[in-house]
Amino acid sequence: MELQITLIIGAILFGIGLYGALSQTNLVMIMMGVELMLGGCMLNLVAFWRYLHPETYSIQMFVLVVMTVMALEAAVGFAIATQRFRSKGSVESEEASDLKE
Amino acid sequence: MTLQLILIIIFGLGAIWFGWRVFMTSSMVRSALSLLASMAFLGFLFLALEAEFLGVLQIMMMATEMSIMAIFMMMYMMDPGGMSGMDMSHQKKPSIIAASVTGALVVLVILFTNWGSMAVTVPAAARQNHDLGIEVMKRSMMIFETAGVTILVAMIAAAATALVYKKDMI
Amino acid sequence: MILLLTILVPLLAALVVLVRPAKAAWIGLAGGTLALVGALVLWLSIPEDGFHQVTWSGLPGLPFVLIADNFTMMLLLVVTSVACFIFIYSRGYMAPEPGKTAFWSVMNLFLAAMLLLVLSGDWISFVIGWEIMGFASYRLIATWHDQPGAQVGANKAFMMTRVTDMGLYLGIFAIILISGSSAISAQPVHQLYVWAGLALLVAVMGKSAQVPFQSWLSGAMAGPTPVSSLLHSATLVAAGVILLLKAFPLLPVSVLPWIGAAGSITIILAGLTAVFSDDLKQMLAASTSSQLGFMLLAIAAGYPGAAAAHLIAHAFMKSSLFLGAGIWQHAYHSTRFDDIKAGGRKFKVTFYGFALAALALAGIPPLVGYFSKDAVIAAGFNTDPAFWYVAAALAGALLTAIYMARSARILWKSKGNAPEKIHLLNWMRAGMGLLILLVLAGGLILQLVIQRMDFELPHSTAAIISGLVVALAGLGIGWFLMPDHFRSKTTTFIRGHYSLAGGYRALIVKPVLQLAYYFNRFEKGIDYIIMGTGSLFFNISKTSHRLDNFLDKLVSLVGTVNLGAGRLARWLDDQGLEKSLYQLTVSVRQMGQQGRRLQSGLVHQEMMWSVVGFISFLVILIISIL
Repeated sequence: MELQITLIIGAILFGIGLYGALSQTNLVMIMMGVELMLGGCMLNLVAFWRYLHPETYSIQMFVLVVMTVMALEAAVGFAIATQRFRSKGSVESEEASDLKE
Repeated sequence: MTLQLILIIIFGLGAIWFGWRVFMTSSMVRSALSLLASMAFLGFLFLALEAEFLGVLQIMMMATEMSIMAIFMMMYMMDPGGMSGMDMSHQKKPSIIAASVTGALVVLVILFTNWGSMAVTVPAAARQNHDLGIEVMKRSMMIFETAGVTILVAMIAAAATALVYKKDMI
Repeated sequence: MILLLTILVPLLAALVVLVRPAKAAWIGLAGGTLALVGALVLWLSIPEDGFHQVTWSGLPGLPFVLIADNFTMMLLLVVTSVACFIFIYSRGYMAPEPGKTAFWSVMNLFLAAMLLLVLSGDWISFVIGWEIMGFASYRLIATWHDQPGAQVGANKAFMMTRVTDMGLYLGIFAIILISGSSAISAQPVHQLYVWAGLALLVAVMGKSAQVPFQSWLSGAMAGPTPVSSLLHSATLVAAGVILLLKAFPLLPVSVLPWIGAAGSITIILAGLTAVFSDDLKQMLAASTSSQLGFMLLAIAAGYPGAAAAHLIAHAFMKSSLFLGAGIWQHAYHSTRFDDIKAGGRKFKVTFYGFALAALALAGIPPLVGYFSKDAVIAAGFNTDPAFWYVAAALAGALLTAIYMARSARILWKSKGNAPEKIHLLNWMRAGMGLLILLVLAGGLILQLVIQRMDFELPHSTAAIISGLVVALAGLGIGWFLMPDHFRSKTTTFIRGHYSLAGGYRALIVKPVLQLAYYFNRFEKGIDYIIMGTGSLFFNISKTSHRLDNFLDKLVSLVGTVNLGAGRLARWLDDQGLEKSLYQLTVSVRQMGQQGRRLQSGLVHQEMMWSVVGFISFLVILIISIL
């Protein structure tokens, strides 16, 4: 029971994060959505560890990796945003159609 | 209703609400801080799920990260204060649909899966840390190292990306 | 040679006049004079009992022959001299009149034809001359063809003589059939059939204006007076008698009484007409018929010589009488007795000539008429049933004297109309005078002439006496007793040539015209039927043509339908297959275009697409697990 509730909470977080990633124009906001999605994933992982395999620590390892990825992705993302801001003057995704065919 | 469940539900709701708040405000700072709060609640959830190390880690990392994010938001946002009243979203409907469909699917999967038996006892926190360390050092060393290298690469990449390039430089 | 020339010269003159109408009179005169000269030359060149003959080929077995023996020579001389003198007269007469060219041309043509007839040695050329003379007469009567009297007279003359010419043709066919050749011979082998002889008699009666065919002569008086003088007193009408003279050896004896009957009736009836006439020329015309009756009488009596004598004498006398009438016609523009009375006083020379000729005609010696009339009466006395002949002859002589004296007295009246001036009167007087000379001199030589013609003249004392008595009595009656006008119905009837039952117009003209009308309607009916048949066929062909057209259209319609079907198939093909293929390519391209839209380059949309893909993958996964 707790497992399902926790998983559902994770799912909801993931959904909100997805919504934000899709609907926001600003790159930074999109990244925030992605953060939320990753947070939901992490919650799922932790729930699985706690309720299914409490003795297996590779799951916690996985969580650490995901956390790392979160940080790194934020860092690189901000670097890109900086560079974009320098060349184009804004980080709106609607104006970022340079790759359009 | 165990205490754990209640705490889970409370912290979960808190995380959800603050996560919702991220995208519902027009002020950038507030949304960053909402995200911070959401992440914090997520950390507290970890703690409630007796993964003390991960919970503390989460809280510490996210706090720092969100602060930096707030600064970046103020730098790059058109309307950081959110006083102009512009709607900074697009394709709202499709994204709502996609999000809800995904959420629903996942919920369905969750509800209709046979999870098997639940584990009742969890090792103590000290014990967890010790075992986690052993895990990292022994079995998952490769993963950790890779992760470390990846961090390094990412740092370099980020720094390189954010550099200023003049015309005569490459 | 001279023979031919004598005929050809007037013919040539006729043609030349047509070419040079300005000198028509002189050319015509030349033609007549040269003909006379030629006749004289010919006469002098022939030995006593010889003859000239010219032959050339005509129809197979029937050659043309011209013969100049004693008989024909004398006639030739008479004809040419009369013609020449009348031509001289015509120079004066026709001077103020229109129609000179036609007149002179046709007069010469007529002369040539008459000479041909006189000189003919075979029946074919005789007929040719006869016919040409008939045509010339028609044309000359209608010299002034704008006057209705001339048209009517010419038509009547031509029609009547043409009808009676059938007799001539029948007779000549019979002659040729019997004798095997067309030569006129004095010693024939066979005699003609009676009907052939009667046929010839019919022709003579028509041409010589005998009863019942005499009325055309009075219609012919509408022509110029020289025409009346030459043609209708001396030559044309005499041609009938010449026919009888030439055919006399061929005639069977049973025909002669018929000839005599015709002649006698004519003498009396025509003579009566002359007595009661009111126009000088009409009187002379009736007189001509009467005198010709005398000639027929003589032939019937069996004495062709007497007929020949009277022919010659009558030619001289009657022509000069006509010439006188012509002079008064010019003076008073009419020949009616009412208009020309006392004309004799005004034109004394003419009257003296006229009177001489009148006396000659009456039969007073020593004028030529006495000798000829005497011969005829003597011939009557010398035949077997003498009474009728003599009676007719004497009655005729009496009538002759009566009418001639009457006309002379009318002319010698003291009071009359004023005459007009006549141009070229001397020419006319000259012509007339020459003929009067012949009248005077002819009496002396008549017997010689006849004997030269190998005929004999009969003599009879009773004839001489009775003739003189009758002549003197008639002259007296005519001068003293005859009134100027005859007004009763009987005299009008007699004057009108005894027109019975409406006469010529009612008896002949109307039926013929009616018959022609019926024939016309019949022919129109036939024509209508033929046209109807023709148009029926035409309609049939039209209908079948339309049908043909319709079928043709139908066939082409079938073709068009097929073509249309073909085009439809092609269209379907084009539209269907091609279009569908095209549509395929278009849709592929459109799909590509649509696919291109995925590549908007907009990050959020691409993210959306990733999410959609992820969701679908998830669904598949779930379904496969479940």
